[in-house]
Amino acid sequence: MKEESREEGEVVVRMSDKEWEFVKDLNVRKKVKESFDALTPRQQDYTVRHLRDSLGVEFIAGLLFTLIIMVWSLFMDAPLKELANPSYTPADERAPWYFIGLQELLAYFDPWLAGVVIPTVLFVGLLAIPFIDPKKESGIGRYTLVERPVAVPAFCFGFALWYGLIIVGQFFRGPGRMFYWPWEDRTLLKGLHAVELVNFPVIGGIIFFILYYGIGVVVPQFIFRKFCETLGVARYYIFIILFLTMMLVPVKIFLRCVFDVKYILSLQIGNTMLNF
Amino acid sequence: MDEKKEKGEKRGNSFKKTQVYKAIFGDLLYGEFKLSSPINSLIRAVAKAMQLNPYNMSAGGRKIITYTFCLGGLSVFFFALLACTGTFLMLYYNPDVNKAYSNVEDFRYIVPFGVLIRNMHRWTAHLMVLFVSLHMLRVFLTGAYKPPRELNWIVGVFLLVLTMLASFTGYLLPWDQLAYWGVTIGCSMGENIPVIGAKGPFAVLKSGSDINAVLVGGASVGQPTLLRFYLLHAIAIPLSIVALMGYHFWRIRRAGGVSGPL
Repeated sequence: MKEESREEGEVVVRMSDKEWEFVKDLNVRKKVKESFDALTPRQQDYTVRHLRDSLGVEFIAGLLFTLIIMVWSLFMDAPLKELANPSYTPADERAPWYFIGLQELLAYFDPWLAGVVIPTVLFVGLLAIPFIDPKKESGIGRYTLVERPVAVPAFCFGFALWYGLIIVGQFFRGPGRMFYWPWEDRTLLKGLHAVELVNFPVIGGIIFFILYYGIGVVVPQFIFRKFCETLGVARYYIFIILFLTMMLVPVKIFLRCVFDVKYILSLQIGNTMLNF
Repeated sequence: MDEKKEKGEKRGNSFKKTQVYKAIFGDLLYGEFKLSSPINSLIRAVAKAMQLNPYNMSAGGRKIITYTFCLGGLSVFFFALLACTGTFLMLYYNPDVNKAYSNVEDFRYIVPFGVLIRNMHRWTAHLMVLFVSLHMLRVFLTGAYKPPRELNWIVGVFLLVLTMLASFTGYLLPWDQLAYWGVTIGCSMGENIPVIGAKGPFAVLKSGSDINAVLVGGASVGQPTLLRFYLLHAIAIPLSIVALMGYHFWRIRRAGGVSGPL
């Protein structure tokens, strides 16, 4: 990080070391004028004409996609079913595809978790990413796994989870939102789950969550010491809790599919059932 | 007294050194808005704004296909395409439950090129949602959310949500079975918000007067919903997207361009 002195009228630019190497010989005023001659020969080598080299490519990409969309639209009509009928629910009612991942979660979680809490945690987690990441300098401007061994896999896992749920919800669900393999006949209606789903006992559920978060928070501190030190205490706790909460989604799906667990924890508070 | 003052100042300064403060207020205080003279700052702001499309840029721009994959640029392009086709569709569409469906049928059978424009609007919308999310993946993988670009990441997350909402509100407008039940499922999420939703845990409000009723305009999806979604889809959300996009691009230049390999 380079921060130059702030005198009257001077513009302060925060940049990485590499960026600084590139611009350090430039006079700020000349840079504003965008005068190509003001650059040193080496910088001229690293500089391209925006209109010719970059905007041109963008323009061609735009043209290409206009063509693709036109051809797509000529040969495939946008869906339009019969007039809306509030009194008749279709057998396979589904949300638009970008929300179908959340609808897919409805099979495993209660609606307030699947539709409200999980999206909210996701949104807050996304907003927090720049402030959690402790490496302010590394891995900027290139695709690298070596320099960011935790951040890249964690984000990619979440991204893949989101699109994985969408693919399952879109292509593997038939009438009544039951699971159908692509080769199964969708005109045959599947019965409801034959196996009776079981709940964890309340104590068991509480112990499960305490152990899950307890082990999840404490153990990495001993195994990945260096990682925890670079993060710092506050960042580490925020990161690990968000990460463990994200991992609860596949954990619950696993428990449901393999052990027929309905709810890990089912609490009754007053008239309200809180099911996790 | 003086010691107390110094301590207070120190505390303020330590807050100013945090990443959150710099990300949000850094530009306003240290950047071209520092008011030496109003005219000066205006000239500098214009000069900066002009750099939205600089004449020269770093060589990273040459790698545009293999580095950014044009994902952000194409999202903007799709937005423009949607605005054009959407304006055309508005000419023939009424947000009225008795007319909407037949209006959309008219696009198929009566309006010249209606079916083509409607198809383009629909498919482009799908592509835009896909490309915006892929753009987010690209930005993450190239570390483009790191200082000084944190606020731009935040603006980008809001743009992603707005893109999905724009698409979702448009989903209802044809008023067919697909739209009606798709939106009913989406809106049932509103009912399940804890405390303020009718079906959520600790609900205090009844169905028809909870938060979902505010969003939908009644106990279930109907004429008020169609009008609300039309307004959101055609006016409120696009304008918010345009405003945030303008800021998004300005911030890219402000941070010295795309986080390209120099």
